[in-house]
Amino acid sequence: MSSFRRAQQWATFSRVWHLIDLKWQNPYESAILIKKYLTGLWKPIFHPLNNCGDHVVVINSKEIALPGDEWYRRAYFHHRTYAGAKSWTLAWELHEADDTLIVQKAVYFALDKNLLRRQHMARLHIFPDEKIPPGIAANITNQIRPLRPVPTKYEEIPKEKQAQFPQLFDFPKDYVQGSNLWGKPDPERKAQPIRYPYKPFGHEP
Amino acid sequence: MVFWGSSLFFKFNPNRIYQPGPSKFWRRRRILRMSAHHFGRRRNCYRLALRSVQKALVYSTKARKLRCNDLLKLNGQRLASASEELGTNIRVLRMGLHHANVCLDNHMLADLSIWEPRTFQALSNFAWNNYTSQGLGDIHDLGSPPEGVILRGYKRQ
Repeated sequence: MSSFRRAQQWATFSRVWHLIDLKWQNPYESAILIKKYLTGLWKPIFHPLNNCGDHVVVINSKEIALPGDEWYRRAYFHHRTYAGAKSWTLAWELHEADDTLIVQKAVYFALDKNLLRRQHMARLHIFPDEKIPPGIAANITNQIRPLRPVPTKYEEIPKEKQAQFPQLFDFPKDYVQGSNLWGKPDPERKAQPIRYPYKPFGHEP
Repeated sequence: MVFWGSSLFFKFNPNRIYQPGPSKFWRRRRILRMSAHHFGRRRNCYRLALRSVQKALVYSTKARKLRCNDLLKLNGQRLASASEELGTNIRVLRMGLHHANVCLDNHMLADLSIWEPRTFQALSNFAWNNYTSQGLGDIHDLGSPPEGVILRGYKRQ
């Protein structure tokens, strides 16, 4: 075996570090993509029993986008094993408490339910913004293309360009512009604090 | 000459009054050999061993079909990922080879992609070109096929 071939084989069994930017991405759609790299499904040598998964570094998990009113509809169940200690935390509350938990849970749900699941999760590194520790950033060699293009907000467009847009109709008087409360059943409700690691407050025993 | 193999399981005892088949000992011995690798009392107690051996045989019968399904899925998955690495997809690869009468199955192609990546790449490039030249399916997403492939007789006039 030539030295080149030997290095090729090493590369086969090494773990690659991938980077994915989840800005304005649906975490539940992206989780299926992340799963492909975490479990090694993208390699021709894949086998469900061989541990050939890679590392995935997720950035901008704070800026994920859930479709529709899912921020106010999706509930995360938690039970602390005490009597009556069950709780349902809405997605927007969970996201305010910890920016990485929704992505983490989406990937955890997407992974197969087997003994390798926790090992795969250990290779997922989630960061709420673009700051990555230099020790991790040095390993990254590949970037995964996000599923959707990132849309530009109307507010982010410079004023000169905004003025050039034709105004086709007038908004009704009671229309609230730029509201991010679409679909929120109770706009005055504030996020409840949760414990970290994820232990929402329920009825104490 | 002594046979310790399975012929003993059918040993006929001439001292017994008419009783067809092997004796009780060898009948049991046949089951207990099959339960030799089981755990606990299922290994040595005949009543329990019989049950677990029969269940094990049922499992192995079912597993013949399941194993085939698993391997089909695994080879399909491996081939899909191998062709995605090269920029195509499994559908283009399969159809391109099918129309050129290249009779390689998923298993063989997946093996080629692991052990002979350059051969697999050549096959993949050929299939892609062949698929494109025949105007099959929707290939606009893939873009233009790789160059350097000569198709003789496959090109549509």
